[in-house]
Formats: sequence, structure tokens, C-alpha cells
Amino acid sequence: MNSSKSPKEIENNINFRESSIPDPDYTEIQKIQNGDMQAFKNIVEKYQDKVRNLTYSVLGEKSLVDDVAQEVFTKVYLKSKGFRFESKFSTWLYQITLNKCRDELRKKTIRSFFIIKDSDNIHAQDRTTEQIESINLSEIVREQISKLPRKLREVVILKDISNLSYREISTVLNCNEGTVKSRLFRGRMELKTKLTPFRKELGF
Amino acid sequence: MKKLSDEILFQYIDNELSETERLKVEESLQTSAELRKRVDELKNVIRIPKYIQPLEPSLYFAQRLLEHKIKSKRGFKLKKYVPVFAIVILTAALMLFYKYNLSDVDKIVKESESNLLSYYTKNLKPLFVNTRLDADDVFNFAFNRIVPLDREKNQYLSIGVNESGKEYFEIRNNLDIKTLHSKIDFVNKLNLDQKQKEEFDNILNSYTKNLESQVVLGEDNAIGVNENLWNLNRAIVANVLQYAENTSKTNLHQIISPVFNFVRNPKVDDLIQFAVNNKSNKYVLLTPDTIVSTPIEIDIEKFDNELEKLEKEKLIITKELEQKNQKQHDEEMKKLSKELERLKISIQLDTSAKVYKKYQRKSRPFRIEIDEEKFLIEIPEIEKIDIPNIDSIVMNIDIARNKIHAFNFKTPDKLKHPTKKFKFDIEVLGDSLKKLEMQIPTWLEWEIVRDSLKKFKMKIDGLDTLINKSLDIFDSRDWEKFGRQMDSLSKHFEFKFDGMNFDKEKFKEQMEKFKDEMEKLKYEYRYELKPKVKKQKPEEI
Repeated sequence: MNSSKSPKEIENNINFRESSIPDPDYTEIQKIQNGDMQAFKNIVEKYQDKVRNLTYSVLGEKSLVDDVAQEVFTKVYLKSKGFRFESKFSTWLYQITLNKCRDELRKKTIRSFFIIKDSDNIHAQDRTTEQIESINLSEIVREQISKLPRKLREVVILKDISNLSYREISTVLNCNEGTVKSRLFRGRMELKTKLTPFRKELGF
Repeated sequence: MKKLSDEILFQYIDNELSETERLKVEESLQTSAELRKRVDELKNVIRIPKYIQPLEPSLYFAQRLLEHKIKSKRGFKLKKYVPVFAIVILTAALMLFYKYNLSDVDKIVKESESNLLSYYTKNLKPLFVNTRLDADDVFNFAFNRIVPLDREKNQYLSIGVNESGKEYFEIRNNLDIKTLHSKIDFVNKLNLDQKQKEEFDNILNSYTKNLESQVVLGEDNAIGVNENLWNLNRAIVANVLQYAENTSKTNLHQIISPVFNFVRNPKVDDLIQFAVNNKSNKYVLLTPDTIVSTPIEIDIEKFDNELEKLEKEKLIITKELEQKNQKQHDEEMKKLSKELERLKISIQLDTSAKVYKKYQRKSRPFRIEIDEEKFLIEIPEIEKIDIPNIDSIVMNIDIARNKIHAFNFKTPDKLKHPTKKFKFDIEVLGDSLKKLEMQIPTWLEWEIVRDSLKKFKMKIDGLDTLINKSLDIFDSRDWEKFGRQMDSLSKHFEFKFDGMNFDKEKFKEQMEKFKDEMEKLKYEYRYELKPKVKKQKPEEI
């Protein structure tokens, strides 16, 4: 594996492993490369919810979702010429999304050095804004996923929320499938342990 | 046999095992009930993340992206290719040219001085020469987005942002402000005590000066609107909600279900600071001849002083002369009133406005809509607040403001009055039609309902229009089909209140549904989706 490459390089040099997969988005991407705005709009409309939900799952903050997702699509538009049809478009898109999310998390970490750390408050704040009285399962699950270590969290989200295959995940994260398998296993088990108090409600 | 690990079972459930491995697992599954139970448990573990509710779809997402982000980035891209070297040479050449041809420069300056635009900008005066604003006006500006231009004529400037994210302003005559959301209502619902009420007013009053200078008027039917007005509007809304949340969170959340945390978000403060301190002099100037975006310098202080002086004089004369000398008093007052009148400006709307129609065809940066009561100008591009990631906060403020509008229904606990039926016939497009029927008790100010409908830019016509329009749709004029269609449409949205069993919660719920329905229609309208009612074979909606 090409571990020495930076994430940006990987985005630009798409992995060859998926070259055999026919991708329905290819025609639209070709049009975008020729400056067709309608094609771009079609792609945005097709994927906006997927990107927004992935962003939400990774960042866990609704207020950031739209801004980050907009940056993702802006990047897709600006870098579309660099897309060489060697992987599925969606894989490339998820890669960009994850990188943007990582940037955002990094910024957040840096900011947290300057602001008094009060991580519990963030959740409390979300709760009061979203659901004053009843805290629902969705919130609990989201909170616990966000507490998983980053590497495990990303794999769990890509597999169990975005429904990517192991191969696609390995392309997005630039690691081999064996790593995906073991991280996914660890991630799922850890999540199960964290949510044991709610096992009745969640049915496991 | 070797026990199958959870990791392998996960891969089996994910359908990621090789053919031989998969067959092996399936073989074991057939023989072991315990293994089957384990697989079921693991399937439930995999399902855990699915409990996360997906985000609601964002209707504005693609539009905003294309309007703002992509456009600005494209502009930037273009810049890279501008031949810098050639421009440098050209500039140097021009500098040399003007250095030795000063007379030409003078000529250019003179020409520009005599041009129409500077004529208009010279005569402009700030809004407060016409009308001083108070806390109520600021509240109206924040939540109803209107500023009074001429109170006697009921003339208002109204601002907004349309579905495609473009800012617009409207000059409206005969606006009935009674139907709008009022400050008193809002304060009452927040349950503020006397001291808090004063604080609330102080916040609003702190914006009057700022607001008064954002709108300028000219004697020749010219009106200028500062581009910062839209920022200021959001800033005031944010500040008011911030205060309301701070003093009485529960009450605020009863008025608007919580959308956002205003107090905790430091970006909200940034936004307020930006809007208040923004000294932009860029105005959109509307005159009888043209409409442009231009910088306008106005000495606000000068006008303020002049006005204050006159008002003071008026007061002194009133005090000193009222008792002593009636005649002299009247004369002086007349003189002063004339002086004040001289300052005042009245805007006449030419609703036929041929000039604008012509102008609009020529170059299209501004889109203009004119009818009997209003004059709407859509502005192509205004200076946005330059704070990173501000878009979603702006969106949240807009949502909060709209929520206050849409759900201000006064519902008494017990229904004593009879119900009366109102019908709303809503035209969406020429070839798509949905009829909404509601029974609303008479005590409910139905103007409010009607007003919230207007926001969706749909015509509310009588039954005649509905029938005529429908007949246009069904070219064949098949009466039977028409009748069936109407029937199914009327079933689509109908709810009634029984005089005795009025259910407040249900009513709210229905209004929510109604709003959703409206959003859907708006969405269809905006993206010009295929009409749901087909020409040949009308289907039930």
C-alpha cells in the first residue's frame, strides 16, 4: 500500500483496483469536466444527502454540516478535471468528505485549546435544542459513535451508515481490506459494549 | 469443529466472505441453533448505527452552493488567467497619458459630475428626515422585515430573500400592518417583567440610528437601500432572540420550537458586531431613470443636527408662545412646519413603470416585479458577511424568524364561537393544481393564515378562477373527469373543527402538515419539477 502518500495525493491519484466497476456517474462527470453546470447540479442533488449525513455522523454537529458539505462539493467542482475515472465517483466523493471532516475536527481540536473545554456541554446543548424532554435513541447512538476512536469510528460509519463495501472503504481510507475487517470488528464490538445499558431498547 | 469467530460471522452477514468460506458458515448454521442465535444477535449489533435519524433534506443546499460558492470560486479561477503583465503596462501607459493631459482628466471629472447618477445622489437624505424610528419599528423591521417610509400613506420598504437565495427589496403602498406580528404580542408571550421590558426596548432602540441611515430618499422619487440592511436584519433578530433566550428560555421555546442556540454561539456575536460596525456605503439606488448599485456618501450628522434643531425650536415656541401670543405662535409654527415639510420626502410609485421594463431588457443585473401595490427589486449580488461558516447560522436565524411568523395562532382553550369556512384555492403553476380547504373558527384572525400563505408566493383566488384554471388544464373539458378530479383534490386537504371538541394539539399538528405541504409545493415550483397533474390522465394527488 502506498502509505507515504498524503490524503490529497490519494484523492488525485485514484486507486486502480476499482477500474473494472462501471460507474453510472461517469457520463455526468465528463460533462462537469466540460463545464456543464446542470450536470454538476444533478450530481449535487443526487449525493447531497449522503454527504450531509456522512458529515453529520463524523462531526456530530448539525450546525457545521451544510458548510462542510458545501466545501466538499466546491472541491468536487474545482478538482473534477483531476478525476481520472479509475475508481467509482462516489468513492472519490466520500474520500473528499472524510478529509474535509478531518480538517474540521482538527480545527475543532485547535479551537478547544483556546476555549474552556466543556465537552459535556456540547451534548447538553444539543439536547436542549433538539429534544428538551425525551432523549431519544438516535441521540444516544450518535453520541456513543462519536466517542469511538477515530479510526474505528470512520469504518463503522462508512460500513453501517453509508453502506460501502469493504473494498470501497479500503479505497476511501487508503488501507488494506484486512485492516478494514479488523477495525470494523473492533468498532462494532466497542459500540456494543458502550451501549449495553440500552441493549433492551436496541434489541441486541 | 473449530468455533466460528464473531469477526468471521460479521463478514458473513456483510456478504464479504469468499464462496468457500460462505458455504462453510452456512453448513454450520444449518446444524447449530446456537450459531443461528449468535448471527441474529450480531445482525442487531450491525443495525445499531441505523438508529441515527438521517438529517432532514436541505431544500436550499444545491441552490446556495451554485449561487454563492461555485460562482465566487469560478470568478477566482478566471482571475488567474488575467494577463497581469498587460494590465501593468496599460496602467503605466494611462498614468503617463494623464500626467501630460491634465485637461482631459478635468473633462472626465466634469462629465461624471454632470451625469444623472450624481444628480440623484446629491439630493438624497436619510430616512429619519421623514420619520423617526422607535422600538416598535425596529421590531417590525426585525420580524416583519418592514421599514416605514411614509406613515401617512402607509408606505413601507420591505426586504427579504427569495427562494433562490437572492436578496430583494419592495416598496409597498397600503400595507396593512395590523395583520403582522407585533412587539406587544411577542413581549407578552415572553412574560417579561417591567424591568425586562425596558431592557428589551433598549436593545431595539440601540439599532434605530443604525437603521435610519441604511435607507436614503431623494426628492425625485429616488430611494437607496444599503446592502448591509439584510445583515442588520439578521443581527437584530439574533440579538432579540439571544436576549429572549437568556431571560426566558422556556417561553421563547413555546413561541418557536427550538431551532438553534443563540446564547451559546459566539458566531452570533460576530454576526451582530459585523452588521453593526459595517460602514459600507454601497447602496442599491432606484431612480425613475435607472437602478444601480453605487457608493453614496451622506452626511448623516448634518441632517440629524438640522432636524434636531428644528424640533427643539418647535418645542421652545410651543412652550413660550402658546399662552402669550396665539397669533405669533401660529405663525411661527406654520413657518417651522413648512421647514420640516421641506425636508420630508414622498415617494410616488409609477406602477406602469415603462422605464424599468425597458431597462430590464437591456441589461439584467436587477430583476424587477411591479404590480399595483408594490415595486419589487431583486438584487443580483450583495456583500456577504465575511465570517467563516456563517451560512448555517444565517439560515438558522432565518428559520427562527419564519417560525415566529408562521405559528402565531391565537387558540383559546375553549371554543365558544361558531366556525366559519374559508377556502384557499392555491394556484401553483399553470398546469398543476392543489386545492386546500380548511374550516377555521371565526375568532381566528384568518388574515394571519392568509398572510402566511402569501409568503409562498401563491395566488389566492376565488372559486371562479379555480374552475376556469382547472378547465384550462383539462383541455378536453370532460366534465365528469373534472368533477372526479375536484373531488379527489378536495379530499387531499380537509380538516374540520367540531364546535365542541376543538383539539388544540391536533390543530397545531395540522398546521405543521399544512406547512410541509406548502414547502413541497414551493419546492416543486422552484425546481420546475414535472407537474403532478398530467394532461391526459389526471392522477389523484
